[in-house]
Amino acid sequence: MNNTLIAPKHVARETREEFFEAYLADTTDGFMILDTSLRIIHFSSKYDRYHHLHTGKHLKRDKLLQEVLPVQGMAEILPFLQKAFEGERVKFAIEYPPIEGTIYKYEIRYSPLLDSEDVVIGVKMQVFDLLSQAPPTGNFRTSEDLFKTLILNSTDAFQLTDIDFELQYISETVINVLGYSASELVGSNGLDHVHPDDRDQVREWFKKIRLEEKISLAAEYRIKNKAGNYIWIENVSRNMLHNPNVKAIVMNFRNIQAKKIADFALIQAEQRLSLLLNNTEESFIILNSRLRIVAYNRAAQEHTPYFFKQEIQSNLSIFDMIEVSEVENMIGLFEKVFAGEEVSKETEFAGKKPHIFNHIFRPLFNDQRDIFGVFITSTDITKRKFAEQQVKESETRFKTINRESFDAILIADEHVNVQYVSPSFTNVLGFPTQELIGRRGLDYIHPEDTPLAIKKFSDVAKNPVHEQSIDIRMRNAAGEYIWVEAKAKNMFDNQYVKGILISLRDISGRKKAEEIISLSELRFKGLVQSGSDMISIVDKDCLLQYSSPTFQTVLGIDASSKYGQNIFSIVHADDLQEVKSKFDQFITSAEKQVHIGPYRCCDDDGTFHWIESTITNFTSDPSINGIVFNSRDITERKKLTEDLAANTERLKSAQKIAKLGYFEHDAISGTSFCSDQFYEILGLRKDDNIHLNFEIVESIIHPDDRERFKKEVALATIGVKEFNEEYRIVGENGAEKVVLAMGGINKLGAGPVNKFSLTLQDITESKKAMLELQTMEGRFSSLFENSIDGVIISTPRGQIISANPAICKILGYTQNEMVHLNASALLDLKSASVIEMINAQKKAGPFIAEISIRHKNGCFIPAEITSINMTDAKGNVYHSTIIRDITEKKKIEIEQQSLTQELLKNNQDLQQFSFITSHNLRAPVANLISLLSLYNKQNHADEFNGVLIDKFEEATLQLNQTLNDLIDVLVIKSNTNIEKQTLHFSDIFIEVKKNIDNLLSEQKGVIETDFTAADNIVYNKIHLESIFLNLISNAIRYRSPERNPVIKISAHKKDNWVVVNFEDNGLGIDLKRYGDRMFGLYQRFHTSKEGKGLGLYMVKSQIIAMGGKIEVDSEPGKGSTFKVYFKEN
Amino acid sequence: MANFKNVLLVEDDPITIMVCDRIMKMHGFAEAVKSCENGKIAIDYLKSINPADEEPEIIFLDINMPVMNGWDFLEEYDTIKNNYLKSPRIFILSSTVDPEDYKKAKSFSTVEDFISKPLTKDFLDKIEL
Repeated sequence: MNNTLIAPKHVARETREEFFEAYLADTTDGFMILDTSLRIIHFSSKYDRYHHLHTGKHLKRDKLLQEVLPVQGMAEILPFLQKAFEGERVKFAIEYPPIEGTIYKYEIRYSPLLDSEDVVIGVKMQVFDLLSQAPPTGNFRTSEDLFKTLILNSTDAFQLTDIDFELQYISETVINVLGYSASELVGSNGLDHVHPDDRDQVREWFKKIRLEEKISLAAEYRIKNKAGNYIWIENVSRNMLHNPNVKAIVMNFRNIQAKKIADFALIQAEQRLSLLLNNTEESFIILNSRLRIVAYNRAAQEHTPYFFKQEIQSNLSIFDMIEVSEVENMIGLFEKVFAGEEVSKETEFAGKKPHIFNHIFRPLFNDQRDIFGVFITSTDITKRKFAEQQVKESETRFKTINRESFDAILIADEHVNVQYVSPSFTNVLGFPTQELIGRRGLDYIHPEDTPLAIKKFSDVAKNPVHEQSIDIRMRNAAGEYIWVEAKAKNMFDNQYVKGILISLRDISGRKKAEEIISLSELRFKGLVQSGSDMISIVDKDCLLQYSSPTFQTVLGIDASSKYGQNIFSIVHADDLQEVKSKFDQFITSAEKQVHIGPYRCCDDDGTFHWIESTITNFTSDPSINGIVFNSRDITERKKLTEDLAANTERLKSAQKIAKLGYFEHDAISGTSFCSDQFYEILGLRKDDNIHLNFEIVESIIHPDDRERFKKEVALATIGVKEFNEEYRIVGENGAEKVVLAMGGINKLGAGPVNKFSLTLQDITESKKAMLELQTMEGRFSSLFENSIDGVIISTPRGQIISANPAICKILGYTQNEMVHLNASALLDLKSASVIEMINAQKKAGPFIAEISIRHKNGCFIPAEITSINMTDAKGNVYHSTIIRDITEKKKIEIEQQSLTQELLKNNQDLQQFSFITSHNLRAPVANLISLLSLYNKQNHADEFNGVLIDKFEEATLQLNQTLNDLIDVLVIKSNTNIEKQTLHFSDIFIEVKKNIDNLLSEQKGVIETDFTAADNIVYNKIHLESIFLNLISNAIRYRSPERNPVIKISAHKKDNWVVVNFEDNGLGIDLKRYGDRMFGLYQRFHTSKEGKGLGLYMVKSQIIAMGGKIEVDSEPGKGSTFKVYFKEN
Repeated sequence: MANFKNVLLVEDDPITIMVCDRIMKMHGFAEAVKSCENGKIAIDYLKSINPADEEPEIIFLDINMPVMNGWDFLEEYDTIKNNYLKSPRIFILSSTVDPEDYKKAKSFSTVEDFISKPLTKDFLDKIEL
């Protein structure tokens, strides 16, 4: 097939071109060549001169004839050109109007130019000046001269040989070819100069020349030149031995070295090309300008059944190969190609093995940029198409999942300007996706999270392999901030992404759950740490690595002092063996947890505690790497703690992100897609072929949910309504699962809207976890909500984040009000105990104290607080403060204190009373003893004895009086059987006045009374009379010597008292000096006055015995006022 | 038994005054006994006497007296005691049983001893010159 390929004969052609150009410039002929489209291919300078003379325009290659000719001229020549293009030779004369008196007349000849197939490919136009007398050009006088000139300048040489190839004559031009002068070669044999390898061939050729007369025979062979190098020559020879004028063999030869080198290179190139073309799967077909097949390769041959109705064959027109119906299309296509365009076309062949081909039609240009053919390449793109189709489908699926999913995809540049937003973005933030394109993504992030986001994203932007995940708050369409998880990946290198790929997921639900858990954790810690549980971590050798502070609380042992020691060192000797063997058994088993106990542990004082331990092996957990002992007193709390631990584990697993399953069914095409996860979630096998048997899906839906599911699916498949519902599914073993199903018609893409898609998410775990969470939360809530003690959880800055109902009740706030408060609002920050508490919290130690807490009404409430610091899973520190209102306790304490003081005072009073009575009894007794000692027993008639007897009597009476007084006092003090009755102060006064009337009139005293404001009292009559009598008689007794006594008695009510004032203008008393003894027993303050110092003591005793009190105001020299407070009934 | 020229008795009970006067004189303990019925009178007396001749060498002081009791007397006496050359020795003479009184008596540097009533010959014997 090599010979059918069109070969670029560069070297040879260029050489020829140069000659041709030179010829054109020098020729005296006026000619021009047109191609079939009337484009000017070539023209001689003479033709241009004629043309310019008559049109004023110069010719130009590649211009169309009509562009260089006036319309008139064009019309005149067109019929002749027509004929020429039809293959006729045309000759006609043309005469131009005279120019400056000169007449121009030309003969015009048009000759068709034919290719090897005799097809007209152009027209040669010649012009001959019929009137010009001038000879053409040149100064050759004779043909001999011309011949010589031609010969001498020729690269051809000419020689004559005899029948044996002996050189008889050689032209001088041989020097141009071989470097020898003619005389050097004459007489030698031509064969001697031929390359040894070519000699046989040359001999054969020479034989033929000798035999054949009349015809010329050519040969190409190598010959040695004068420099000793072999060069290729072409020798065209003719036997003219029988020509009587010549009688020799005439040989014309010339140097074809350049041509040979080019040909050789060409052959090599052709061989390589051929190899290449025939080994490729691509088809090549080359057509000539008449659209006949010039060449094709093996692949084209093999593809023939797909392309053509018959076997491919050289020289057939392309139109013979194709169906009639395609002809019109193909003509249109070739028109484009011949206009210089490259055209591609896809053809599809249905059948058993469908094939799709992509054909590219390229114009073939020659050096003049003329199109001389068409190059067709055809590629089988069936597989690629199929792959494309698959990509398209998966993309559609991706888009569908994307649209339905909770994840939004963003592509942003290095400044986080949004370049692309997935449709599901609307699901996450509620914005239409277009709104975000080109906007700064950071603008949507919560200001508090922005610095972190900038750091993370710029980190990703800088680092090509980096991936970052952060939880941030983003503003949604409603202007609210919601929590999203943003995963950013540097994909600048990816040609499709060229940016940061950010996936966003709404995690507000998860965040809320986390908050609840974290809060629960805090509450849990608060409750557990304030409880009695001890948490210890030991290594495999039972050496204590860590123990909670409760270790000290429970056992009184500083845990850190035991670090590195065997934990069983504190176990009672009697229990040691059992505990150890259980522990050893546990360690060697695969068990995760074991309960040991109850067993006894020794505390700091040497006393034993019954302890029960839950031992958990966390050696494989790198965060702990030890065995954890949860030890506690045997209480209900044990059970609670275990439940909580289990719940927390379940919750953690519930947080794992559920996988999505996807199913798609095209009702029209009958095609389906179902992801592996879809089967997995439903617990089905792939060979259940859901698309063939969708009932199988319905059958595993829980019977209670099945009708609802069927109904939703039915509505969704006809495009009435999409659904997003939870359903229970029942597995083979009866295990239930909960799935979130989202179904609807796929509205993406341009096709008919009949693709039903169903997305499933297994939410069993999260459902379960939610349930557990609710249970756990319920338990915590129950503890937290129903605790008698107040519980506040606050940040280290004092912001209250949680407060239970008890504390709200104690402090008078609502829970909502509480969580907007700062703890400082509840505290007196200047109080020493509060300062101490704040310092303790900073040091992270537990703190127990009594402090005052401000009630909403501003009053301070005494409280006993236990404050501990706690750290949640994220390392945030919180203060948990348990607050107990001790108002009642304090009140009782104060009451007890006052009672104790009262008792103490009564006791002191009694003691004092006993001292005083002893003193007063002793004094007369001492007198009696002294008198007795002075009595003259030897002489009873001693005069002085009589005096002593008198004094004896006096002292005895004094003793008796003292005893009587004491009895009166004791009666009052015994406070028993005191009869009460309603009394009127006015009546009592009248009664008392009778007893002092004499004294009063003696002293010219006046008593004024006013009981209008208060007259009634329920009291003991004798006591009240005694009080009135004593106070009135005192007022008279201690009257001023300077004036007559005036006594004013009045009563009024004050608070719960009835107050009676006894005001006098008497001596008064220095209260600074005597105030404390005023109402003491046997206290006398005035000399030379009657009185034993008993009256005021009796008054006070009588008042106190009835629950009242007495006060006195006095100024020496002016008078006194006694105020008696009686308890109002 | 020591013999003192002037003894002051601050006492409000007449029988006690009479008995004490008799006992001191009978046993030659005191040549002259002056009695004052309360602290105020005693202070006034002490301020009024001629220091060289009539200053008491011994004062027997009762506690429970009207107007100015024994304690108030002692406080008042502290302010004038430097006026006296003889610096009388003060003995509290009381029938009190209150231990606080004994303690209180010791707090006064001017008080030499505390005597429970009645005043006896045995006690007078113990008081040396």
